[in-house]
This record gives sequence, C-alpha cells and structure tokens, in this order.
Amino acid sequence: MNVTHGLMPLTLMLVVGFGATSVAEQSSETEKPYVIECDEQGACTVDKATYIGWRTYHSNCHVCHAQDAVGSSFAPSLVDRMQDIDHERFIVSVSEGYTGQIGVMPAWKDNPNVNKHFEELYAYLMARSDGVLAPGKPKRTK
Amino acid sequence: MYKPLQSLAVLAACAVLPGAVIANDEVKSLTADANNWAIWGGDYAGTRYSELDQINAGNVKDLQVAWTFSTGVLRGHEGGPLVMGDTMYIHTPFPNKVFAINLADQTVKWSYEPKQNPDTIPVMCCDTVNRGLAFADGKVFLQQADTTLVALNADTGELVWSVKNGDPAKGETNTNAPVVINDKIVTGISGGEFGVRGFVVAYNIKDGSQAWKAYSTGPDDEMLIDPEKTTHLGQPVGGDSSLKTWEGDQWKIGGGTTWGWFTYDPETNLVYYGSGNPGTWNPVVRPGDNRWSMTLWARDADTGMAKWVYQMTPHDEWDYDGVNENILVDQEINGEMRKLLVHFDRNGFGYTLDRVTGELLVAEKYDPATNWASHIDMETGRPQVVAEYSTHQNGADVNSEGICPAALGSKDQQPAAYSPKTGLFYVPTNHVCMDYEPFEVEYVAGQPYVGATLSMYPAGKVTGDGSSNMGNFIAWDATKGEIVWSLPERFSVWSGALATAGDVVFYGTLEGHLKAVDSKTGKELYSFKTPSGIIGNVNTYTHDGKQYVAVLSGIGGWAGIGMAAGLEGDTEGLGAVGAYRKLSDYTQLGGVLTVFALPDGA
Repeated sequence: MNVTHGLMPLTLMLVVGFGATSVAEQSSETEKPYVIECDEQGACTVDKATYIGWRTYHSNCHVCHAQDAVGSSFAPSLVDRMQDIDHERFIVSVSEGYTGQIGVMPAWKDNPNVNKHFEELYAYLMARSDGVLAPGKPKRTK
Repeated sequence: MYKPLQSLAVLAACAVLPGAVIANDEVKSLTADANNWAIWGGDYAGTRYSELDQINAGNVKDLQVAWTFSTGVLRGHEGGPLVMGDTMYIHTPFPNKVFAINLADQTVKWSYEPKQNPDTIPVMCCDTVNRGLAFADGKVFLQQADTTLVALNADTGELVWSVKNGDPAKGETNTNAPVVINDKIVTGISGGEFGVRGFVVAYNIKDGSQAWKAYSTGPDDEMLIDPEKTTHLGQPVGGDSSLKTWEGDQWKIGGGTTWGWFTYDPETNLVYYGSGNPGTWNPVVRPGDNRWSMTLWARDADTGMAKWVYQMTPHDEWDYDGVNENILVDQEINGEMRKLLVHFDRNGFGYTLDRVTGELLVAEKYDPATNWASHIDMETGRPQVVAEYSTHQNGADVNSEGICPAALGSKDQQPAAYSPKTGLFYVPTNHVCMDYEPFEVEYVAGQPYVGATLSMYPAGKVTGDGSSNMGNFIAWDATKGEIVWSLPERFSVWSGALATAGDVVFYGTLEGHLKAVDSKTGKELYSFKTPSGIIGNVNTYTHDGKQYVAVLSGIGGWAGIGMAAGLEGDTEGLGAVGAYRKLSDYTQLGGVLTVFALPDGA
C-alpha cells in the first residue's frame, strides 16, 4: 500500500474550527486535506471527505467548472487555480461568490447542500489539483 | 407584462397578410415549400424529411463545402438554421445571438444580441445550449436562456415584443425552440435539476400576451386536465390525478419541465410534447408515481386542454426525461392505416402510439443494451423494472451499478428523421450505461436540486460484448419495433438527423464529421470533418435553384461536457478493447456553420 498521508477528517475539522489561515499555511507545506491510498496496480481509493467533496462538486460546481474541475469557457480550471489560492481565499470565494471576467460565481454560504461541505470540497479539489486524483468517480476506502 | 413596440416595419410586415390569414396557414405554406427550412423539424410533424433530391445517393460523394460562417460563440451549438427565401436565420448558445444572413452574398443582414444576466449561466444544468428559432407573421422568435421570449422583426432584427416566461432566480431557464401554432407561440421551461415546476405556455404572436398556461404537476385546473375527458391509455385520468401521486406539497418542486421539441397535427389541432424528470434525482424521498412527470402530452393548441397523457416512466429513478420529440406519421399497422406518434424515449424504449387517442401500440427497446426494465406491459403501459437496477430499492447512498441506458438516455434531445420513401426512422442514439447513487438534498429556491451522482461509460462494459462504441446511428421500423440496421459510432450521436427524397440520410458526430449514408442500407457515402463536434441538426434548403445542406458545429451539450473529460477513469473495464480515446483528442470547442453543396455543373 502506498498511502498519501494527510490530516484525518476529524483533525481537519477541529483545526479548521480554530483558524483556517494558519492551518492552510501549515498544510501547504506538509499535510494534505485528503487521504488517498493506491495499490501497486495504481488503483486508488479516497477518504470520506474527498468522496463527499467529489459528490458536492458534481452536484453544484461542475455546471461551470466542468466535470473533474477541468474548467470551461465560463469558469477556470480548478485543477490549475487551486495551486494559486490558499485555503482562506478558497473559503471566502465559495462563501461569498466571485465575479470573474466572463461568469459570476454564486455565493454558496446559504445553500445547506454546499455550505456543510466546504472542507470536503477543498479536499477533493486539492487532490485533483495536486495531480493525485484521476478524473472520474473516486472509489471510497473501505 | 409585455411592451409592444410600434414599428413601421412590423406594420408593413403585417399588412402583407390579409386579415383572415392566420400564422398557422403561413407556417403550413412555408414548410410545404421544400426550398425553405421553416421550422425546426422541417414540418409540423417533425419528420425532418425534405423532398429535395438534387443531392442523392448517387452524387453525394461529390459534396463540397460551399461556405462557412463563425458565430463567435464557443459553446454547444444545438438546433439548426432556418431558411426562408433568400435569408438564413441562425442562433447561438448563451448569449443567444441571432444572425440573419443574406444567402445571395452571405453577408449579415442584421444581428441581435440580448443583454442577459450572467447569473443565468450557473442555473443551466447541461451547457448553455439553445435549440433554435421559430418564424411566422414577419417575426423571428427566440426563446432566450434567461427565459425572455422575444419576437424580432424578420427584416430588420428590431425587437417587436418580449415577455418574461420564468425567473432564473428560481432556477427557471430556457433552451427549447418555440413553435408557432395558429396565432400563438408555444414554449416550455427548463430547470428540472433546480426543483422547477414544469409548464407549457402559449403567447399570442401579435403582442406576446399569454393565451394559456398548463403545468405538468398539481391541481387539475392548473394542469388544464379535465378529470373526465383527459385520458391515460383510453381511461379518464380522474380527479387529482397528479396530487394523489406525490407526498404533501412535493409537486410544487416536482419538475416535469418541458425543454424538448414540440410537434403539431393541424387535422386534430393537437400539440405534442413530453415532460421531464421529477425533482429530485433521489427517488427515495418522493414516493408515488410523480404524475405527470416523464409523460407524453397531447393538448388542444387553442385552449391548452389535455386530450390524453401517457406516463412512460412512473416514479423515475434514473433521470429518463420524457422530453424527446414526437414524430407524427401515418403508417400501416396490422393491415390498417393508423395516425401514429413515434417517440424514442431516454429510457431506451421506442414508443408508437395512436396520436388521436393515445393508445399504446408498440413499445420496444431501440438499444438492446437497455436493462433497467425487462419490457413494457402493454395493458398498463408500465415498465417492468428490474430490481437490481432500481436505485430506489437499492436505496440512498448506495451505488447502483451497470444501469443501461445512462441518465442521458438511449437518445437525448437530438431529433430523429423519418423517410416516407422507406417508412423508416433514422435515430441518433447513445450507447452508454451508468452507475447511479442517490443521496439526500435540501431544496433551496434557485439552487441545484439534484441529489444523485453518476458515472457513465460505454455500454460494452455492461453487455460484455467487447464493444467500446458509445453511440449508434440506427434505422428503426416503428410499426414493428425493430432495428433494421445500426451503425456503431465511437461517441454518442448527439446531432439531429435529416432524411431526403434523394435516398440519403445525414447526421453529425461528436468528433465533428458530417456523414451521409444510404437510406436503405446505411452504407456510408460521404464524410467531412467540420471544425468542431456536431450536436446541431442537419437541415437542407435551396437557393437560386441549388440544394444546400447546412449544420452548426460546436461541441458541448450534456454529451460534450460529459464525454470531454470525465470518462477516462471509467474505461479500465474495457480491458483489451482499450481503443477508447477521449473526445478532446478529436475535437475542440467551436461555433461554425458549414454549408455543403455539389460542385457547379455536377
């Protein structure tokens, strides 16, 4: 088993509760918000947070940012973009929305289907952006 | 409600028509002339058949590109060009531009670009497509994404009137082509993934005032259903036929949107269309048949009253919208000439009904991979659901695997064609299966209300027949419910077909090829790769006595979004076949009209 180590979901939620900025700075160096385990054949499974993030993303965000977060003519590739923004900027953008050059991202803070899952979205998108999660529906680690 | 703008040009256009002549006659006469392509389906019946035969099975191999035109918009281009006389009218996806092109020199006579709030974009589920224009009474009608229905002066492009058909803040948008019937224009609504309550509405073409409006769900009077006279398979539907099939107030956010094509039979004055999925995609939380989502409707075009309904997929568990086109033909069944309605549903069954009475005559699988139901019970009209593929029985947060067809259906919006010469239907199809996992969601007005995730892959992964194609272009005998021939296509065939008296059938592919095949055998006679993938409809017309074939390229739509990126990870199951390559290796975004003709002197 080749395991990409990261914060466990419980830990993640706890630390985020205390202050997102410092966590983001720390985790960008060493720790990742996702856990992905791959076997020797390269078949990978993901932790619950990353899975819920995938599900939330493909129920709401994919309309503009496209399947697998690869971007479209309306909204940028988040595979690229997530490398440029930190956790705090991410949370502000999804909460408050964002007016881009072409499209307008809605503010998701009042949508219970999304606002409960900001951290899971972050985990999924960072996994995509870090190049450790292939396109398509991820399999959950049993 | 509406602002009628007085313009001299409009008055002049109206003055051409004698007072007694209504638009219906105009559309009938415009479509009777094969030199035009005056309505999305070529005729009211939606046959997409042309009497033109200059281009035929013998010479189509010599076809060449005559001219091209870039729309300047890089999203999915559904629908097709309309041609009346010397002018072609084309439309684009959001921002929904319209161009009137002078066919004599291919210059732009006028163009129109509405100012639409970009907030509309995130509430369009499956790309910002638009399926085209309608023409009558000297006006070109456009149903914009933000739900504004506009009437433009056909000579100048000036706005004559506009009316708001819905509210994007509630998730209501539009993608459909409206249709002019008698003195009214009929249109629908999109938003099945946002808890929108579907409806069909008719506006008067003179001024945009509302004539009637009929919902897909709710109280009888709001659906324009007469409990005694409106029938389902010959029986009166009875009182509260919709309300009884939903829990509590769920019908208010119950979907049944109406974003597909409309056809019309002048003899019976009935307009035909289908309603879409019930909201949410999680079937567990909405027990009951969820009437009248997933239903074929026949309504009186003047009053909107429903004559008959037929629900194809009660209590949907797979997103098999019933919105695909209803093609109206007269054919012999069991030795008797019947007035038929033929419908290729997303759920994988091809239905043939009596279009006057709504009697179900044939219901057979037009993609043999279809597995979610074993068959349709011809007495009750109900599909016999296979438990293994019931996403409701398997429950929320359970991934139901290997369901065929996928949510995008054995066929989606891409309209089929019918040739009276062969008596066959030519159907662009998908050959894709899925895993479907419902989950709990809360309804928030104007926000996505889906509640299921899915992944899609070639049907061969389920059938195990070693195939990797994700589409087929088939010829179908609707009197028997049988495939006559079938051409495998690498990707879903998402373009509208065209059949002609020249014994040629045309369609486009997601890679961007315009193809011509022999209408009897399916043999490929011509293929040309246009600048982008084709999800538009192939149309034909003449100018100066010469036949042309025209199609919009521009990859996108649900197929384009879904296929372009996500499938790679799901193809491991194909193992040795492995020839599958992603769509982006074949084509990129575009927005181009390509017009074909035979070389001069041919």
